[in-house]
Amino acid sequence: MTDTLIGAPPAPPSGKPTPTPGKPAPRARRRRFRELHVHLLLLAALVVAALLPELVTRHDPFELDGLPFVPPNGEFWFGTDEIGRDLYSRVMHGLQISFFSAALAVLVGVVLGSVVGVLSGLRPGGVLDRVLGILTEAVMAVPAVLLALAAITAYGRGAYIAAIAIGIGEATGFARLVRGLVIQSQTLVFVEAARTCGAGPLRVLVRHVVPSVYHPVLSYTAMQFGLAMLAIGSLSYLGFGEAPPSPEWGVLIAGGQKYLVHAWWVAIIPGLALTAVVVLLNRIAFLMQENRR
Amino acid sequence: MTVPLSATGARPSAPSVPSAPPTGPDGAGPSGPHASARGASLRRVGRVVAVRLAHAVAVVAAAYSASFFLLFVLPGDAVLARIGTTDTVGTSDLSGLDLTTLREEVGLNDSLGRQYWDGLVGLLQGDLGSSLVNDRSVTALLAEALPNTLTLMLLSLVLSVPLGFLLALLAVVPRSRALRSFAALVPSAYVSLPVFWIGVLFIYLFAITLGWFPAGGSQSASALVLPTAVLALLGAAQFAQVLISSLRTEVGKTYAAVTAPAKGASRTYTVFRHCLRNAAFPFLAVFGLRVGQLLAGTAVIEVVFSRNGIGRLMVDSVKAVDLTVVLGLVVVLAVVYVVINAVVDVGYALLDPRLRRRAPAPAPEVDA
Repeated sequence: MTDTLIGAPPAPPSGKPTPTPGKPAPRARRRRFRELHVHLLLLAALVVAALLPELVTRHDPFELDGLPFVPPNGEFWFGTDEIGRDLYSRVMHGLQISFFSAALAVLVGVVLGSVVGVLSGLRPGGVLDRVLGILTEAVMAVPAVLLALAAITAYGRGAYIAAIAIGIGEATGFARLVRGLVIQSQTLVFVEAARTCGAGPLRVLVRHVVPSVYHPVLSYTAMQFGLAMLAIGSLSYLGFGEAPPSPEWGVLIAGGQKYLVHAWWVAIIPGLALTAVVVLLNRIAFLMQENRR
Repeated sequence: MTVPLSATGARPSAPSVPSAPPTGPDGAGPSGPHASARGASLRRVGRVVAVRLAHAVAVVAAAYSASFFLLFVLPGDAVLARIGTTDTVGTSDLSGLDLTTLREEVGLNDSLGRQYWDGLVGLLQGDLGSSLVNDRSVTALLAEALPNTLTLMLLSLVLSVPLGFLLALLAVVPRSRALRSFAALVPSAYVSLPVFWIGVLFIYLFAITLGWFPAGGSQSASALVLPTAVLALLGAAQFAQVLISSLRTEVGKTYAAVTAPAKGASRTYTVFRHCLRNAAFPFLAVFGLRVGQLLAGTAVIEVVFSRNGIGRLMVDSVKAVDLTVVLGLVVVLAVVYVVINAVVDVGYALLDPRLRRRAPAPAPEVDA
C-alpha cells in the first residue's frame, strides 16, 4: 500500500536499509556521500558568513562608497546601487536576515509540526487525530503567504513576524510527515519488542521511534528551509518584511526593479544569491534522502 | 484512519474513501449483476461526496475562526488605522473625533463573541461585511478583483498541465541518459527560483532588452503573456517533479520492466499506454495541493507586473490594516482551495477503476 498516493512531503523510506533492487551501486553511494559532505561544508561556510558578514566584505552596507550604478567590477564585485552603496556587502549582510528568519520559520515548523504529528499519530483515527487533522487542513487551505500577511496585519511588519507565520504554515507538512512516520513505526519489530518489555509510550517514543524516523524529517527540514527563504523573500518584496534601508534580499530586489532599465544587476544579483542558497538547500535535502536508500 | 497511506503524506480523508463498506443488498461478489454493481458504486460515490462536503465545511469554518482570532484579538486598532488614512477624514483633525462613535459605526465595539457570530452568519449568507477603510462591501471588492486573477491563474494552469507532462516524459522516455537527467534537472531547478524574481528577470529580458511584451499593466492581452509564462512554468515544474518520481517508480515495476518487454512492447508504448495512467494518480492527488500555492504565486506575480487583481487588493488592505478585507480574502482563498480539493477527491473516486468496478474486494486496509 505504500507505493500509491504520494503527497507533498517525501515518502518516508522504510525503517531499515534492506538491500533493494533499486539500490545504487557502492561507488555511486560513496560519491553521493562525498557530495553531501561538500554541500554541508558549503552550508557551514554560509552560516559563518551569515553570522559575521564583516569577515567577507570590505565595504559598509550602508555607506556611500562609490558612484551610483557602477557595474560589477574588481572593486565592487556586484556593482553599486542607486546611491552608490556596495551591492556585494549589502547582499552579504542581507544573508543574515534572510537566513536567520528562515531558520526561525523552520524551527517553528519542526517543533509545532512534530508535537501535532506525534499527538495525532499515537492514536490514529481518534478524536484528537481528527480535530488536529481538520485544523491542519484549515491552515493548509490558506496559502502560507496570505497567512503571514494576516499575521502582519495584526502584529505589524517585520521579517521575524513573517517568519513565525510562515513557520505555522510549514508546520502542516511536518505534522503530516511525522504523523505518518509515527504510525508506521508502531509496527516496527523493535518498537513492538520494546513495548512487550514493558516500556511506556513516552519511553518507546523517545528511545526507539525518534532515532529511527528522524532522518526523513531532517531531509524535509532542509527542503522547507529553502521554501521559507523564498516565502520570506516574497513578503519582503511585497513590502511586508524589513523596511527599505535594510539589505534583506526581497527588499533589494524590489528596490532594484525600479532601475532595471539602467542597471540590471541591482535587482538580478540578489535574486541569483537567493536562488543559489535555495538550490544548495534543496540539493542537501535530495542527497540526504538518497543516502538513506 | 489507516496506516501507511497517510504515511506518504496523502490527505487524511483519502484513506477512508476506498474503505467505504459496500452498501446495498447486492454488493455481493465480483460476479454480481452489472447494473446493481453500478448502483452500488453510485451510492458509494454519493457517500464520498457527502463526506467530502462535511469535511470541506468544517475546514472553511476552522480557517475562518483561526483567522478571526488572529486578526481581531489583536493589539492594533482598526479604527485608528481608519483615521490614519487621509482620504476618510481628510485632515489631521483627530482631537474632535469621537472614537467610540466610529467604533460603533463599524461594529468593533460589540463583544468579540458577537462579532465572531455575526461574521459567521454573514459568511453563510455570502456577506463578508464591508471594508473598514472605504465602506465598500468586501464581496464587491472581491468581485472586482477576482476575474483578473482567475483569468491569469486558469490560463497558466491550463498551459502548465501539458507542459508538465511533456517535461516528465522527457525525463523518463528518451534513451539518452544525459537528456533524461537534464530534463529531470529543469523542474527541480525552476522551483528553487523565487517567483517574484523570475518575474523581474522576465521583465528585464523580454520587456526591456528585447521589447517583445509590455512590462506590466492589465489592459492589453499582450500584457498577459509574461505573467502567464512565469506561472505556467512554475506549475509545470511542480507537476513534472511529482510525475517524474511516480513515472520512475512505475517504469521500474515488474509489469513495465519485465512483462511489457517480454511481450514485445516498445519502451515508448509501455510508458504511454501503461505507466502514464498509473503515474497520473499521484499527480491528481498533488494537483489540488499545488493549486493553493499557485493562487498565492499569482497574487505575488500580479504585484510584480502591476496588474489589478487579488494581489493588489491584498497588499493594499494589509497596508491599510483593513481587517475585514483581509479576513474576506483568507476565507475566499480557503473556499477555493477546499472546492478544488473536493473536486479532485471526487474525481479520484470516479476515475479509480478499483472504486468504480470493485465489489467488496480486498480493499486497502479498512479504517475501524
